[in-house]
Amino acid sequence: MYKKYVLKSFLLFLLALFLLSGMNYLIDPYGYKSREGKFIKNLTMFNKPNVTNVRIHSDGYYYLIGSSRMARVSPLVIEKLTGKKTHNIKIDGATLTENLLLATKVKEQEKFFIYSFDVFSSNKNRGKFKEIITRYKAYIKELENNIYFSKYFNSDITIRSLQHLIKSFKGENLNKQYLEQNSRYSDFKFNLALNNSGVLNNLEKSNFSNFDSYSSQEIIKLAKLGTKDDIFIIFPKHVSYYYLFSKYQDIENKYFSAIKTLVHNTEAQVWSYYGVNDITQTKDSFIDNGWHFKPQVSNIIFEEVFESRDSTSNIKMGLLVTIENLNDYLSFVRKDIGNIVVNDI
Amino acid sequence: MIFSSSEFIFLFLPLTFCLYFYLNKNKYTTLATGSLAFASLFFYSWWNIIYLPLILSSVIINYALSRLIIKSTLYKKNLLIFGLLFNVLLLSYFKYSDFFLQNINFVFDTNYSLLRITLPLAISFFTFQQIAFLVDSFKGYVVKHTFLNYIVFVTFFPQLIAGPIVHHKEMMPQFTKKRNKFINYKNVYLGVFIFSIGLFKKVVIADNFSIWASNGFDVMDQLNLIEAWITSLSYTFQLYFDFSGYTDMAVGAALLFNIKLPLNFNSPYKSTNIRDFWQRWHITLSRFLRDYVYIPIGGNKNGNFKMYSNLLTTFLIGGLWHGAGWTFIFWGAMHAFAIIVHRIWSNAGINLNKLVAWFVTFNFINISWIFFRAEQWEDALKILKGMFGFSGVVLPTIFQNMSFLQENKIVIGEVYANFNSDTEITLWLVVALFTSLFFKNSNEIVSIYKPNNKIIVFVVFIFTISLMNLDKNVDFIYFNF
Repeated sequence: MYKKYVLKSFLLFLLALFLLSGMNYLIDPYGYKSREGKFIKNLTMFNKPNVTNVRIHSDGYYYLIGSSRMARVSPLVIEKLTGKKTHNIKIDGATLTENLLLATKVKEQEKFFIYSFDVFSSNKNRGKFKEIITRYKAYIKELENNIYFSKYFNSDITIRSLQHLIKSFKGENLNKQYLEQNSRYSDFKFNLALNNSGVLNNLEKSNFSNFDSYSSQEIIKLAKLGTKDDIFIIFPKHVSYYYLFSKYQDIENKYFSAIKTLVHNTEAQVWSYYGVNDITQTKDSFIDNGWHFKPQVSNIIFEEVFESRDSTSNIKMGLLVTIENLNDYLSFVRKDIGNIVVNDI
Repeated sequence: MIFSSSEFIFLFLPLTFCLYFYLNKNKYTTLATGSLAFASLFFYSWWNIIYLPLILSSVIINYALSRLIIKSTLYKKNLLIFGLLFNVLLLSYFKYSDFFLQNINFVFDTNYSLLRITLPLAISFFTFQQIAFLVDSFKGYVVKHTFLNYIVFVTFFPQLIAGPIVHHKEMMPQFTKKRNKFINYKNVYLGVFIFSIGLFKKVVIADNFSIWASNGFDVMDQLNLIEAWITSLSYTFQLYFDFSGYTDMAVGAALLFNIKLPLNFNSPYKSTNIRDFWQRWHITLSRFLRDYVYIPIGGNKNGNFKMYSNLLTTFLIGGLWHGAGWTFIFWGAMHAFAIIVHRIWSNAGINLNKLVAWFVTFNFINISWIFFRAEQWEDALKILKGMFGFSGVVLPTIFQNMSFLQENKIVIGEVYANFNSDTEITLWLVVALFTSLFFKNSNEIVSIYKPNNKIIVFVVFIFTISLMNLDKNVDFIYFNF
């Protein structure tokens, strides 16, 4: 009798394994195989070490690394522009330490990155927050895991697959979150940006409290990972923040120094949208009081990065920063920021 | 390798099972026992092969000492003392050297460098097991066993890492019994059943609670009243489901090989007094401490004061066994005092209402676990301050209309802001409490239910759900001890 029940259990388990894994493989909600026909939320908006691990080990060419600004970049946009398979592995509120870990893992797999070299991520002080340390440890632990069993057989992907089915059945737009952000009209006062930034009050846990740069060695380590096919990108924020960075805690100088170290030590392209330009002057390019650009802005940025490479003359948008134009560019940006009149914001 | 890993469930366990019974079926019984010993050492080495020589030398030396103790007439006692010293020193070196040096540095204001030795996995368990074996060899309770059987007794992988702390009398005969050398489908069925329940407890329940407990203990700097209670209760349930889940998996895995491990848990949170609790929680540790510490130092002989001091000593050793830190010693002391108070209370013939007794016992245990979990005193005090309202009180918006609350500095707002969860966490706590109080435990379940299709579906369901949660990869708490 018991033998019969043991066999029955085994067969029933195999059936459940086959059905669930099969469903998850076919739906592929996180876009491990293809990003086409997937919900943008699943492609860009989660910080999940296990999903990141699978993505790094999949057949991607480009990996999008960065903080919450990178959540506004659809891998499909990069795929359409380059024809290369792309995965988004951003971490909200990432520190340079976390991003460096991801970049290192990507390079270990001989893949390439598009890396958001953000002033926000460059504050070493944030790396001391307990929650950041805990998250970093979780990523380290997970990225050491081999993936062979749980890729299509775990509770998370099963829930996502079921959600995918339900949303598809209800006819939900694949880009719902991006469309919502793009359609949000944005207007805000300077004071909101000031409060949002945290540069002034030096709260223990605000984004820019006690701004402390990473050491040159750490930035050089990151820079050296970059090959000619990798890209560092300095995403835009509203000019209010550039004004604040120039006035408080010497953030601008510390960050510019980091940019110099980066550019001098990398073979990768470094694109910058920092400073006063058509994107950063327009409040409606952003949401969250100028803190995050709208997803549609990322289309403009990457069209320029991938299609209009000879953009040195187009100083009003982004710029491919090289050793040759670095000092002029930073002086120019500094001067522009110096001319910002707060009352005009 | 841990039980809740895909390599254990899909490779190690089935391969070991097949090899063991294949060899037995073909009458290679010694080779079969050897395969079990080899598999157990492989299982141990998976974590860190550097410590394989350590466990091997410990096993060889203890076996040799046991043989010498049994044979010797003149030096029996000296050999036992040597054996005890060897085991205690081995454990002390790997587990307590840094704790000792830290205290020396603190007391004498010295600056000795810490050794920073990685604690070898399972050392506390296999040391205690072998101490018991030596003591029983001295007392003449040990009959002759082959070295192979001894090595399997100590390293048998289901119980090697985190117990139960098995006794040679209950294990050795099972390894030699002929009937146990053939596949017993009833045991396979029960083994899979218990293993599945344990896996579910660990990866679905305990690992979820671990997220909330870690958030409160390790991440948050300050906790309001409700957050602090959530944190402490989360750890209380994490520990229970983690350890009892581990034990169920150990019992289930052993049963596949026709080996019955002793009962280690018996619904401990149903206890209505602290003595009852220790008869239900980590039963094999309580048994070891009673038989090899408490009774040898005098037990309850020689009057009440001596008995209380023996209880205190036993629990301090129990605390220290769990970890090299003052918080563990304090935890042991708390339990010792609780046991003493309970004895005095019982002797006075005072009976508490059952519900009140349960409430007091459960809350005492809940509070004592805070010291067990906290890495530093500050962490424990942070939680305690929160639990008693010294770090502010935030109540949910349903209390908005009660203006007297706000007049008394009680904030109405987002209670669960730091846990990224609202009703979910409350629901988990309620279900966990309900389950641990009103459900039959796994031992009771398997002894009652006869196999039928509904049970099969239930087992496959919880097993599948558990496997789908393996990717969380959280270690068992008792691996640290």
